[in-house]
Amino acid sequence: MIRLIDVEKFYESGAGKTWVLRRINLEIREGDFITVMGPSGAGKSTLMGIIGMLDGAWKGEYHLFDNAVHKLDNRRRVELHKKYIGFVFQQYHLLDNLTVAENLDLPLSYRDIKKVEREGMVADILDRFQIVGKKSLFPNQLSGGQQQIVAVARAVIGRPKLILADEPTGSLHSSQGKMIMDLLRKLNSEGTTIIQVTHNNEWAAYGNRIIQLADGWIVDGQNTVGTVAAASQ
Amino acid sequence: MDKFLQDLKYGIRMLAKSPGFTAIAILTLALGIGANTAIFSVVNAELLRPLPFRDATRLVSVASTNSRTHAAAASLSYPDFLDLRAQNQVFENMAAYTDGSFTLTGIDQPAHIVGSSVTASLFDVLGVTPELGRTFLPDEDQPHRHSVILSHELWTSRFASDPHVIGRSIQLDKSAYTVVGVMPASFRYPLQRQTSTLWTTMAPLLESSDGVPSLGEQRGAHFLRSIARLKPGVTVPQAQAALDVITTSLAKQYPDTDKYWGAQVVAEQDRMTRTIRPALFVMMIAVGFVLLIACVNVANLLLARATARTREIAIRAALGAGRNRLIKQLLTESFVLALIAGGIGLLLAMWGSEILVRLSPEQLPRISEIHVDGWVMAFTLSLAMLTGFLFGLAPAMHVSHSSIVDALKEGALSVTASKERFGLRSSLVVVEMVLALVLLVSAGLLIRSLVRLQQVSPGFDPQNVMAASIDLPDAKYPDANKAEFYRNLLPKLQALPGVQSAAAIYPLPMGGDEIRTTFQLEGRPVSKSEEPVTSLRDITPNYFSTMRIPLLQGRDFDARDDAKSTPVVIINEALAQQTFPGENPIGKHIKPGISVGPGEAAMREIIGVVGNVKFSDLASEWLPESYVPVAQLPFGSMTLVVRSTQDAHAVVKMMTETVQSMDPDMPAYAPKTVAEYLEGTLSVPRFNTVLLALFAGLAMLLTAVGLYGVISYSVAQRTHEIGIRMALGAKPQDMMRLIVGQGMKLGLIGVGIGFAVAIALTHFLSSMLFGVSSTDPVSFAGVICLLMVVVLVACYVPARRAMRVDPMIALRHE
Ligand SMILES: Nc1ncnc2c1ncn2[C@@H]1O[C@H](COP(=O)(O)OP(=O)(O)OP(=O)(O)O)[C@@H](O)[C@H]1O
Ligand SMILES: [Mg+2]
Repeated sequence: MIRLIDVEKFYESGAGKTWVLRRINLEIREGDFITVMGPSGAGKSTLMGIIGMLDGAWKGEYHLFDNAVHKLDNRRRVELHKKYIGFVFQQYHLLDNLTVAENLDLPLSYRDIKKVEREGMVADILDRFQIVGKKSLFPNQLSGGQQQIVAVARAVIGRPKLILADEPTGSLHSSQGKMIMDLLRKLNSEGTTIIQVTHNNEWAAYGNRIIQLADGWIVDGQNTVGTVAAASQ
Repeated sequence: MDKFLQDLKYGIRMLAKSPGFTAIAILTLALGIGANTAIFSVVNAELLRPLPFRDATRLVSVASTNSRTHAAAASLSYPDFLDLRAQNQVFENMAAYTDGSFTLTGIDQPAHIVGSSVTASLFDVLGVTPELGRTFLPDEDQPHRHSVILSHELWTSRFASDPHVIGRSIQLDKSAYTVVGVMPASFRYPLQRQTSTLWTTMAPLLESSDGVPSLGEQRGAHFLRSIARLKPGVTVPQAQAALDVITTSLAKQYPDTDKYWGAQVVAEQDRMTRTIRPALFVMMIAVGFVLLIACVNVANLLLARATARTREIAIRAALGAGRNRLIKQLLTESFVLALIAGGIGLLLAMWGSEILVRLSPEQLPRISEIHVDGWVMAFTLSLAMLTGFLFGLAPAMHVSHSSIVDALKEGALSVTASKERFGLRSSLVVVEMVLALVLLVSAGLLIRSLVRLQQVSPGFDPQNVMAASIDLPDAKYPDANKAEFYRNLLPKLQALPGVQSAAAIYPLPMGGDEIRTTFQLEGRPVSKSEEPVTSLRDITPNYFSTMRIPLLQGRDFDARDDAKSTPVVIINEALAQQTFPGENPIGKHIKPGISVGPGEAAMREIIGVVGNVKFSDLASEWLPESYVPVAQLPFGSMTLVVRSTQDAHAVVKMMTETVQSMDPDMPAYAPKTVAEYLEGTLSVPRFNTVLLALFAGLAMLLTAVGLYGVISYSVAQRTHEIGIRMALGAKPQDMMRLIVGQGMKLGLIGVGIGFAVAIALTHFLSSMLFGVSSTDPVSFAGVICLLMVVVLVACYVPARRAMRVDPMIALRHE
């Protein structure tokens, strides 16, 4: 589904270049549940941004299904993003001025979907995430965990084939974190490919494959869940 | 459509969420739009919209000039008019007219009617047709044919819209006139504030009594205005050239009267707006500045908001909103903003143009045609929208799909981008300051001019003097009886309770009328065309004491000076100095070229010298003037002046009653205090000053808001920095200095540039200034101080916020 070949990214800094990602080679199959781990500053968020096509300034090859993303212009990338990807941000990034239902409707409103249909989809997702009662509340009327649930729901609503979740449980209490993770696992079992970033070994174990990043390099991308769990003990 | 509605809904909600921003943006734009639309509505009615006549661009005014006295735009005499009309090849037709006043009797109360005496050709020149009956026939200009055309208004108010009024005979000034037509309600001529309600032909002005040449027969008697219709394809300069040829030959033919005389052709619309045009031009520029400042302010507000919204836009982009979609959404918001502002602006414009009409001076002739103009409205609204669109799009400019990750990061804007934007916002504020300074200096100059003007002494004491006019119709009061009427009336007026003294004069100072005549000096004959000119006033005894004009030498007129005694004259200081420098004028003789009744003008003995008086307005120069007793120069129309001990208005009723007790058919009309007449001459400068001061104040307010916005935004941005500085030991005063210093720097740059621009621009105001130069240091210094104080205040409020920053909170905040 996704193939990255020698993807690199750097920032210009004063004298020279600061490398953030170095020669990333990665193959992701449909149905994978991948966990990206690594110390702070390793380049995890940067990698997610590139895969999610929220960042265009990098080198290398990126194939998504049959599309050579590195050759596409901005508009085509937006199209691809809309078609395949749902993104859950570390900091939720809900719009403060919109209600829960309106936040959920937002990605749909940017796709060519009829209003009635959209209303149905929003009602459906509210139901699935058990937040029907919150639909007319504004984000600042929700707890952090509830906000993250809405953020996940918003990533899912467009029925993306790939969900990118950057520390979706970052600031959550463990029981709320578990709820989010269970949700992701359920989506994965229904066929959605998932890439998550986490520092938490317990959540890492939800995936079937772990990629370790350090200083922009993939240091270990082939380990099974079991060995990582063992190594960390 | 569905998406548009969604954007609209969200846009309205965004605006409602930040009521401060929304209110200021809307109000700012609305004021700019409203002021511009109001002023332009006036400009449109006065200067741009063609006169309400057929092919109005072909209408020209023909006035006379005098190369010796440098008089321009003066009146024509009837014989000269007839020659011009007969000899020219450039006009289709040509007409002359003069304002007149008539007393209508025989219907209800006697009424004083403002009318015009016109040549029969007038209606043809204007290209108008009557509502009833016909217009004048050419031979109705001949003496003893008394015809009259009524205005629609007079026909409805006085004649109950009588459909059979045509052919009816009515009494004007005690003689019979036949109604031949009624003009439609839309017809107004002359186009002036107090317009005519009836029109008679020239006939009455051509009828001589006692075999003396009538007014209309004297080539030296300039009392007519003239309007002509150019033949198709003839231009104003061509017409001018053609008339020059005619006047040159007339000057040779009639050297006594026409030697220095010339004719001047001006487009009629230009003539009408001559006095008001420079002011309107200045106002247009001033409101243009205000609109510019308003737009700059809104741009500034939108830029500030753009920074705050970068995150929102980035999230939308991350969720799949394409660039076009984002732009559409931002445009929708700007659209809503501009639409609301436009709506309020329209209300302000309607209200503003009404106020303008109410404040407007007499010299604004076509106020009934002033209404809010759709095109102007559309223009200002689109300008406002353009501003909104341009700067409302700023947030979308900094977010493209390839940099969402960066945009979503905490600081949202990169340091360079935010510095860039602060720089842009600062330069916008500097622009505002420059514009505001130019307006403030202009307003300052006008205010100082007005003050100077008001300090000018008119030469008389205008307080507590009531003036009202009466007309003694020739038919009832032959010349021999006129003086007697005044001799009987004035003591009665003087005996009224509260009245100090009473007199009569024509023409009244500041009343707008003037009689000029040449005069001969006894023993110093010059050829007729070289004779000096004097303004002439016809008065009764006690006029000088009533008006408190000082008698410098000799004596006032009294009962001795009647029709049979030695002809006498009193001159003013200016005439004494001009004609008799270093000599005692008392006992000398002059002969002003004016007479009533049979015989030549009389050689008059100078019996007194009085102080100079401003006759047309306070800004004018002293004119050489002579006063003649009404007993020796009987005028039918005179203005009564009554000085009372208290409020002059209290005597109006008694005045009218006293006049009517002597002649029930005689109204005392147009009661107005002399102070009000004086005020009237100040109305144009006052109008200009009030308007410009208003716009300058508005500009200053908007600029203050703009500066405040920039500084307080920068304080908000620097909260973190300020927190660190304070944690490291900086005192609150240091923070105050830091912030105020930032604002003052902008202020000084703005004032510096503004000073240079103002110096370069204010000389355009010169024609509107009195007694101050266009680079008046007091105005400049005052305005600069004022503006710096405003800058200080606008910085102080945010600076106090900076002083109060709690380092702990500020640092945690990030
Ligand atoms: N705008 C920028 N300019 C320069 N360097 C940057 C910029 N943005 C990020 N970096 C650098 O890129 C590197 C990778 O950042 P990234 O956000 O991907 O780390 P991360 O692995 O997600 O860390 P964390 O676990 O703390 O979220 C960091 O070393 C950071 O300093
Ligand atoms: Mg990260």
